[in-house]
Amino acid sequence: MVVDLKKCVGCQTCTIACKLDNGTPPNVFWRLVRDVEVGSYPNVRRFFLPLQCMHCANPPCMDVCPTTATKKRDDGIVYIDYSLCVGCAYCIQACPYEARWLVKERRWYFGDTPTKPELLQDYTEKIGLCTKCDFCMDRIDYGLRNGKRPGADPEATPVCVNACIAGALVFGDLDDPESEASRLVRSRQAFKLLPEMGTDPSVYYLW
Amino acid sequence: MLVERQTVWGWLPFVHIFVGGTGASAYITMITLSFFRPGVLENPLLWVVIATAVGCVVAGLTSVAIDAGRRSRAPNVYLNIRRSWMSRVALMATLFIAFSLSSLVFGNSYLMLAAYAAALIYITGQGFMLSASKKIPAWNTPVTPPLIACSSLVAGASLFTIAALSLGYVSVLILEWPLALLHVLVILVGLGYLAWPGATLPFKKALKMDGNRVFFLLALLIGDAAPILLTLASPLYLAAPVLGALLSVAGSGFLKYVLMLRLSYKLSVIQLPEPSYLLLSR
Repeated sequence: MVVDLKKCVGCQTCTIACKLDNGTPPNVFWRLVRDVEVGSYPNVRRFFLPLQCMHCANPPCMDVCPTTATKKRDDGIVYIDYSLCVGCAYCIQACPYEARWLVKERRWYFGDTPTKPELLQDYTEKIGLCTKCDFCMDRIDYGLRNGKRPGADPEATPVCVNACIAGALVFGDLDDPESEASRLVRSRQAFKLLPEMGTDPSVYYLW
Repeated sequence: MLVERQTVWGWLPFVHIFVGGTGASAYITMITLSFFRPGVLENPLLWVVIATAVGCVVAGLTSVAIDAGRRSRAPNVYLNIRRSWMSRVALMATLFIAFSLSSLVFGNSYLMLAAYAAALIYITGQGFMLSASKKIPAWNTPVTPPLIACSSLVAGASLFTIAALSLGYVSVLILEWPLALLHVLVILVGLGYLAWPGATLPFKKALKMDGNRVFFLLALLIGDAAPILLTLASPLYLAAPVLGALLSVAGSGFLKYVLMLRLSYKLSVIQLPEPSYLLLSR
């Protein structure tokens, strides 16, 4: 995934789209746009930094997971096998990107009554387990099975990318030199978060 | 930019590291001493130490099991021995319990040695488990494993000393000077941790915040410097070895508390290379 920081307006539409699609409880954000202010007066800048699982090439969460619940697919997507996870939270301590969440009690957004989206996407099975963004891999797989192209066809693209009103999120195969994501990384000044951690994230940011 | 401490691991994982590590180290001390004084491997000391050590390790495992989101799936933690230190620690704790208890039943010295090896890997693994946590700069250091292991050994040796003296095994007082040397080692490793040359900026900030450096030094003072002084004073005061041992256990707990709960600031994700923000056009 490529995130164009010049285009992001911090509207949180991707955050809400993710929450609606995955039914995540209050205070759980598989993706979130942070409002960042850097520098000191008079040289200050404010910008918006979308954060999510970085789907690292060397995911530290996978190494520490005692249950082998965290796995990486051949296409690079790091996901959790929820049938194995014990909810020890070790992966949360290992992930420098704060991309993992553990909720021990089911809570709804508005009191004791779940909202319609919360009912439609049942998160209850994930209570007590560590959870995170999986790049909407079910959508990707569904799309691929139906001849769609991830990043190009909305049916095979993560919901956050589809929802972005500014076109700041670009999804695609970074190994494919012809993909829009690869082209952007090549043509613009791209960086990854916390490169010193040696995790080799698959999410690039563009200045 | 350090903003807040981690909250997912609280007192229960601390209990595992402190209580489990201390219990296993008491067993390590007994077996190590038995190489020089085989008389320590007799009843009732043998029973008391094994019961205490196993009780501590079980208490540690129970505390982390309570902390887990899905306790019923606890056996899954053994699935990643190849890569995860948590799996290794869980396996070694289980093997330690099994080998030490069966050594009591069968009186087999090989089982004792197997339990000894499992306990050593267990206390070392606890430190490696913490140091693999990339999100916590104060844990993610190469000094963390030796610090945790040495602190556990000191606390375990002290616990063993208390148990032996309370049962009238005065011969364990030969541990006094080796234990004093172990205290010196903890102080050196502790100071090495504070002055670690490879320290990252977030790690240095974690030490600076909330008087953490002072708390850390205080833990070394209580748990290690004071017992050394009491060792020097032991010819004068009969209660000095016991008092020193009590301080050692308390100090080890305090040191681990400072490391696990006070110093556990999270790494900020927003560590943008300065002054790269200037590249961002308005």
